[in-house]
Amino acid sequence: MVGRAQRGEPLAVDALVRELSDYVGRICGAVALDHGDDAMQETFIAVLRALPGLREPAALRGWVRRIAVREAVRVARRAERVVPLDPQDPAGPAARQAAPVPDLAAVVDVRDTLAALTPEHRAILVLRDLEGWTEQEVADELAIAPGTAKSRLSRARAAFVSRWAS
Amino acid sequence: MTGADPRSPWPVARLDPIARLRVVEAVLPGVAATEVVIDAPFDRVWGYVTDLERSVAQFDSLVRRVRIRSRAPVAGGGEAIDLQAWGTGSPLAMVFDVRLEEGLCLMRARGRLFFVGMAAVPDGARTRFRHAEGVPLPGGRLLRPVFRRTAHGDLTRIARTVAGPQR
Repeated sequence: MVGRAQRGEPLAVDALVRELSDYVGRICGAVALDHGDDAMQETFIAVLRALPGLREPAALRGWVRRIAVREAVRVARRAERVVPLDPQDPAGPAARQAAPVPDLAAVVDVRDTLAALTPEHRAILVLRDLEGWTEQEVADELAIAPGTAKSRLSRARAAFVSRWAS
Repeated sequence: MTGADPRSPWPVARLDPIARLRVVEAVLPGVAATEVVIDAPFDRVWGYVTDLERSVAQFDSLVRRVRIRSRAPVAGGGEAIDLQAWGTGSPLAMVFDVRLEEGLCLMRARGRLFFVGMAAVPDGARTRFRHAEGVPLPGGRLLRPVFRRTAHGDLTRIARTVAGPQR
């Protein structure tokens, strides 16, 4: 199917979109929230335009995920007026480390809480807590230093807990 | 709009049929599209256009007859249809592979000589409808203005047929 989609076969292109929709929809929905549908459309257009250059079809999902995260952050940044997290906020480093990390999968109303975070923080939460990646994998995926991934994840979780508890 | 998946508390984005058609079109050179809101409910519009043997020859000025050779359900929903279409002024039929599901119909001629896509979503009591057609090959790009006009003509005829009070 990937080979036929790379050659621009219309029904194979659509079949590939169907196959990847749940996966891309989870990433775009959690990162771009109300603009998730737009992010998903732009992700697929970017994926399909670049698809002929994909050398290794086995790497498709990882490649698509990288584009989905990038597009979702970009669309969310473009569409939202985000209030950045204040590094001096009361949930400082000590409080963050002490804060219990909730079982995110059990949280019922995640959307409102996610809406208070920046797209970059939502992206790191999605990769770490929804996709279950290690911090090293998250750092590689987002092309940031492991220390940056760790601190960004810590801030995102602390903000999540803070917003959730408020 | 991004919604909730009952299996997960995380927000999940979706592509509606029109967005799916836009995505497919985006990588098909030579395919042109038109989108309108038709003053008729989704069920009436979709019921009409997917009665392919009857409707296509009515709304598509390039087609005089359609015959379905086979249809079969597809895993994950929808149908795969094999049909023949005879163009106006041609004794030879083109064979199309069709993927049909609620709100989306993709038709690809064997040999990639032609592509037709139709998608619809409810818009209140009306229907947002997108129609795309063209030659999905690099050289087909030159014909896009032609197909934009024919797609617009097809949509005008569909809207005229289904709009207004139920007949």
